[in-house]
Formats: sequence, structure tokens, C-alpha cells
Amino acid sequence: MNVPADIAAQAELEGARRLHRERQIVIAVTLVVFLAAWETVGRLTNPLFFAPVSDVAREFINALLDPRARLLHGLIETLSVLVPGFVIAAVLGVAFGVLMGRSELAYNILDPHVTILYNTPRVALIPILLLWMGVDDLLKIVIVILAAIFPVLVNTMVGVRDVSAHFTEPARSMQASERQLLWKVILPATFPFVIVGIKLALGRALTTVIVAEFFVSVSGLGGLLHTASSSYQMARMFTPVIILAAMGIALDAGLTYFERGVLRRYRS
Amino acid sequence: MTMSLIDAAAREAAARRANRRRTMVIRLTSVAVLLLAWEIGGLYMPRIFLAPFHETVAAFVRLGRDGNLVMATLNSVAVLLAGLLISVVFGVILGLVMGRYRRLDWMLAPYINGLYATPTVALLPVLSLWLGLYSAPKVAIVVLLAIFPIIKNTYAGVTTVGQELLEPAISMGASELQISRQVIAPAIVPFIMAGLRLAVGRGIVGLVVGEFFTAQTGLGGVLVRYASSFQTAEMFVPIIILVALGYGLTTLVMVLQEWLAPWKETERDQGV
Repeated sequence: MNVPADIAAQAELEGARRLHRERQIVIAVTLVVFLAAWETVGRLTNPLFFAPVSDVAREFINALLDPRARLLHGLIETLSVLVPGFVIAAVLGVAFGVLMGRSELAYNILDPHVTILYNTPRVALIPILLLWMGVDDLLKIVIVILAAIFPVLVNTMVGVRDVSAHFTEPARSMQASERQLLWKVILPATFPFVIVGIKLALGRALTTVIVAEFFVSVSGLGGLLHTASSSYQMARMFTPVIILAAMGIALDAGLTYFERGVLRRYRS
Repeated sequence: MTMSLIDAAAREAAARRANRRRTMVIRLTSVAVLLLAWEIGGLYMPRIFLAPFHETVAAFVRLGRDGNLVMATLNSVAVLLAGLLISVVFGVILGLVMGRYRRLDWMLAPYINGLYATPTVALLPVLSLWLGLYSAPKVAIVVLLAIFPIIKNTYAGVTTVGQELLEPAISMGASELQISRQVIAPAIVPFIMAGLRLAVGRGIVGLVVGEFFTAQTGLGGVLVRYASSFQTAEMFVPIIILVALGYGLTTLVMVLQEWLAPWKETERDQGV
């Protein structure tokens, strides 16, 4: 009885392994075809419009080895706007989300403004903020906050309301104070919602920081990109694009990994 | 007994009505306070920073009569709708084939996930080199921002159509076409609509950025012109229109979802 079950299990495992191998082959072949096509098209077109992938790679390595470290400076400039803006947005977003989730009065006062600002394309506020704040890093931080705060706020608020509806009564019946209820019950249970909001906010923050760097003062990775493209240096232009893509993918993957870990802990 | 129940119900309804009225008063007061602050701030601050609210209202009316603002709005709406339409058509097709054919999924998923996580506005300089300065790069950047949530959501819809829906159809001898049209299509409409709702917001960002950095046309162009000439009353007019556009389109998608797929509310708001 046991033996056929074992064989079946083994066959299944074998099948899964074959599937996995096939998947890797398909991905590898696609990548090779993609790079070959890029190289070919790049060699055939006018270098003012496109660059073959080999040139892009060479330029990328040159940028990494550049003794003046312009790429590193650009990256640091971008991060020095992105990180403070994002952290402030996350903290304020959670704080206002909890406030609006717990207090009906706060919800009614703030919700009209949140709805309007959430529907405002935040990049459209850059010219106005430019007028008010000048070409300062402050402007860029403010615009990152404006871009990132609302997904965090709205998700936290929805989470707090959802959690409150389920867990307030049991906690109250066990004589929990409002503070205990908030810190021990509501905030931990809202955490998965907060992470979803933070993931949404991340993409918006990245987009906005680049637009700000294009628009306000040519600095950071967006600035490098702008300089290269306006002087038609196609291969050089791809370097900041690659860094930005890698940043987006890595941050998103990191948050997804974190989210899974958190969710697993909740389930157990 | 019955009487008192009815009494209680009536009293409860009255209380609820009073509560709703109180809520409306609070919300309207909150908006009024902000507008008042805008008005007072505008009266006391230098004009190059902020104009009082009533001047923005006057500017709205004045520019509304002038044909230029109408043209700019139509221009923006046309670019946005073209981009969203392309995104829906190709996004749904890509999501469907990736959800149905494993190998295509393997081939395309790394690129699509990568581009979704990339701030695609970074590609705008290249797009304007390739496509020129007018409508084409703007439509392209709208698509590059709007298409991914639609692909992702359609894919999620197709792959989560449960076996409990597929198996009966297969066992009753339904063809692939019938399964696609009568089982999968209705089941994924709510997913597509959730994707479209995200796409609208992202598309408008793409539109504005495109109008800022290629030829300055449309509402974004109007905005930049007024802001850079310190016309602080006028510069809020295109922003108000953009907000209304975003709000209107989002509401439209929600109404459409109610109408097309009232049976299910599913959302996959992930990764914008």
C-alpha cells in the first residue's frame, strides 16, 4: 500500500522538478533573445536614438568605476530626498490613519481634504510648490511626502476600522484601556494593511522624486538621466534608468518578503 | 408592543437622520474653513505666492469663457483616454494569455514585473526622442504607467478562476471558446475594473508629466505657463480640472463595475 503512494509522490516530485527546469530554460532563452534583439537593433539604428546593449553595459561599468563617482553622488542625492520623505510620510500616514479610523469626528473633518488630495495628481503640485519653496531639497521632500502619505493613510484607516469592528468588544470585556486597545490590539492587527499601503506608496514616491529632479533642479539620478538624454548620450542615459529599475524592484521585493514573513507570523 | 416597536424604529430613523445631518455640517464646515484660510492668506500674502480664493473662482469663469482652456482640457482628455484605451485592450489581452499559457507567463513575467516596479517616468526622455514632442510620447507614457495594474489584475483574475467554476463547464463539454466567454470573462470583470481604477490615477500622473516635459500642451502645459509667470490665481484652474477629471473617471469606473459585474466585489490593489 505504501509503495505505490511513494512512487506516486516521487513521480509528482519529478514532474515538479522538470517543470522548474523547463521554466528556467524558457526564462534564459527569452533573456538571450531579448538581449540579442537589443544589440542588433542598437547597432542598426542611429546612435542618437538608441544604443546597443553592449555599449550600455560598458557605460554602466565606466560609471561605476568613475573616479569622480557622479553616479554614486546622484544616488545619494536621490536617496537623501527619498528616505526622509518616505519615512515622514509613513509615520504621518499611520498616525492620521489611526486617528481617522478611531475618531468619527476626525474622519469627518479630514476626509474631504484627503479625498481631494488623493485625487490630485501630486506631480501637478510641483510648479506651485516651486513657487512657494524655491529650488530647495525641502520642496522635493515635501512632494515625496505628499505622494507617499495617502496610500499609507487610507490603508491604515481601512485596517483600523476593520480591526476595531472585530476586536474592540472582546478587548473591552477584558477591561483593556483605550491605550492598551490601541497598542496591543489595533496596531498589531492593522500592520498587514499598513504594509500594503507602504508598497503602494513606494512606487509613487520613486516616480515623484524623479519628476521633481527633472523639473526643479537637475540633480540626483533624475538629473543624470536628464543631462544624458538632452545631450543625446543614449548609452549613458540607460545607467540611471537601470539603477532606478533595480531600486524599484529591490525595494518592492524586500517589502513583499517582509509582508510574507509578517503574514506568516499572524497566521501561526 | 407593536406600537412601541414602531415608535422605537421611528426614533432610531430620526436619530440616524440627525446624525447624518451633523456629519454633513462637520464636513462642509471643514471645507469652508480651508477655503476661508485660502482667502485670508491670499489677501495678506504677496501675490506671487498666493491669490485669494475668490480670484481663482473668477479666473475659472474667465478662462472657461476663453476657448484656450477648453481646448487644453480636450487635448488632455484625448491623450488620457487614448492611453487608457490602449492599456485596457493590450493589458487585458496580455493578462489573459499569460494567465492561460504557462510558457508565455514565464517568458513575459520578469519584464512585466520589472517594469511595473520601475518608475517608468524615467523613460520619458527616451520616449520623446523616439516619438517626438506631441501626442505620441504622451500617450506612450500614459500607457507605460497605466497598463501594468491592468495586466496584473487580469492575470490574477484568470488564475484565480476556481476549479469549481471550470470543472463543471469542462465536464459538460464546453469548448475553450465557450469557457473563455462564458466562465472566465464574467469572473474576471471585477478584477479588470479594480486594475482600471488604479490605472486611471497612474495615467493622469503620466499625462501631467508628459505635458510638463515634452511640448507643453494640455492642462499640464497651461499649469506650467501660469506658474512660471506667477499668475497665482490662474494656476489653480488646471489643477481643479485635473482633480475633477481623476475623481470623475474613478467614479465612472466604479459605476461601470456595478453595472457590468454587480455580483462580486474583488480588489487587488497592489503595487502602484
